[in-house]
Amino acid sequence: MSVPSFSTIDPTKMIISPSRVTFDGLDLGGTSGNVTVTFGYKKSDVKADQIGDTILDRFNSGIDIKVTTEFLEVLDLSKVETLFPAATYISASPGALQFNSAITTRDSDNAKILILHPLFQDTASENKDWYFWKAVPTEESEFVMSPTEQSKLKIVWQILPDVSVTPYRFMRYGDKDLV
Amino acid sequence: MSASNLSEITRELVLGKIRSDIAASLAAIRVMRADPIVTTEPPQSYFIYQSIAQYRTPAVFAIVEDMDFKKERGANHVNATVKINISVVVEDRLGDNVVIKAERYQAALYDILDEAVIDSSDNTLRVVVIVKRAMFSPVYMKDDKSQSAFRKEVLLECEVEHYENF
Repeated sequence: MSVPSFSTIDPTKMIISPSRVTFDGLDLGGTSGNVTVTFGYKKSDVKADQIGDTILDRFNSGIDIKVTTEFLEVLDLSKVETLFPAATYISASPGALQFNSAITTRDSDNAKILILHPLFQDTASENKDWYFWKAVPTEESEFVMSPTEQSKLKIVWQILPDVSVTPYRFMRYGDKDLV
Repeated sequence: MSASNLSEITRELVLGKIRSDIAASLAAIRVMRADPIVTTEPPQSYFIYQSIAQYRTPAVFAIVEDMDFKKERGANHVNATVKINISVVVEDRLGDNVVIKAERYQAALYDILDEAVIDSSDNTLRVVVIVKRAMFSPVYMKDDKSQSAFRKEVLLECEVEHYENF
C-alpha cells in the first residue's frame, strides 16, 4: 500500500468549545445559539479600464466587527439593562427597564469591554480569549414568548474603535496584555 | 506511512478520563447532595462489550456504536464523529436507593465527560466529548436474590469529535 502524499495535521490545535460572555465585568451567564464573532476588513478595489473588471489591487477602507449571541437569563433585569444602555433601569426591587426615546444617546459613551472566554481554557488563562476594548450592544432585539421555546434576547454588539491609543484598536484574539 | 488510531484509542482515552476522574467527581456530587443515603464508591469494573454474565458493580461499560468519517466535511485528515455509549450499572438493596445511586453516577459521568478535551500521549489524536443524552433502564432484580437485590443502568449517549493525524 502506498500513500503518495499527506498533510501534517496537529489535532491538538483543534477545538470545540462554548464561551463565557463578560460585558463590562459582568458575566452574562447562559447563552444559546452559539457566540459568533463576525469581522472583516472592508476593501476597495483598484481597477483599470484597460483590463476591464479585473481586480488589480485592493486597499483597506475600513473594518467592521460584530458579536452575536442569544442571552437567556431574561428574568435578571440587572443583566438585561446592561444590554440596553439607552434604556432607563429602575433598580428598586424587583427592577424594571423602561424604554424612552433616548434621542441623542451616543453609542461610544456606552461602549464597554467585552470578553469572550472559551470554556476549554482555565478561567485564569486569557490566551485564547477574544477581547474587545469598546463594544456596545446595538439594542435591536426581539423577545420570544412561547409555550415551547425558551425566552431569549438576541444581542448583537457593534465593536467601536478604542481611540485612546494609536493606531486605533478594535479587538484581540489572544492575551490582551501581550506586547 | 503512519497508522490510524481510530475507534480503539478514542474509547481508551474516554475510559482513561473516567478512570482518573471518577472518584473526585463522585465525591463532589456527594458533597453537593449533602445526603449520604447511598454509597458512591468508584466503579469496580470496566468493560468494552455487553454480554457479561457476572460482574461486580458499579460497572462501567464503554461501547463504540458507530464511527462516521463525515466525508462531507471535506477534511484532509480524520475528522470523524464517534458514537460511544457510556453506561454504568449500579445496585442496592433498596429500590429507591438504586435509582438515586444511578442518578448520582450519571451526574458524575456527565461532569467528567461533557465538553472534555482529551489528547493522546503522542499528540496525534484529539477527542472532544459531547454528551448528547442520558437514558435510564427500569429497576430490575438480580436473579440470585442476593442482598444487593436491585440493579439499574444509566447510559450516556456520547458523540465524540475525533481529530487525527495520519
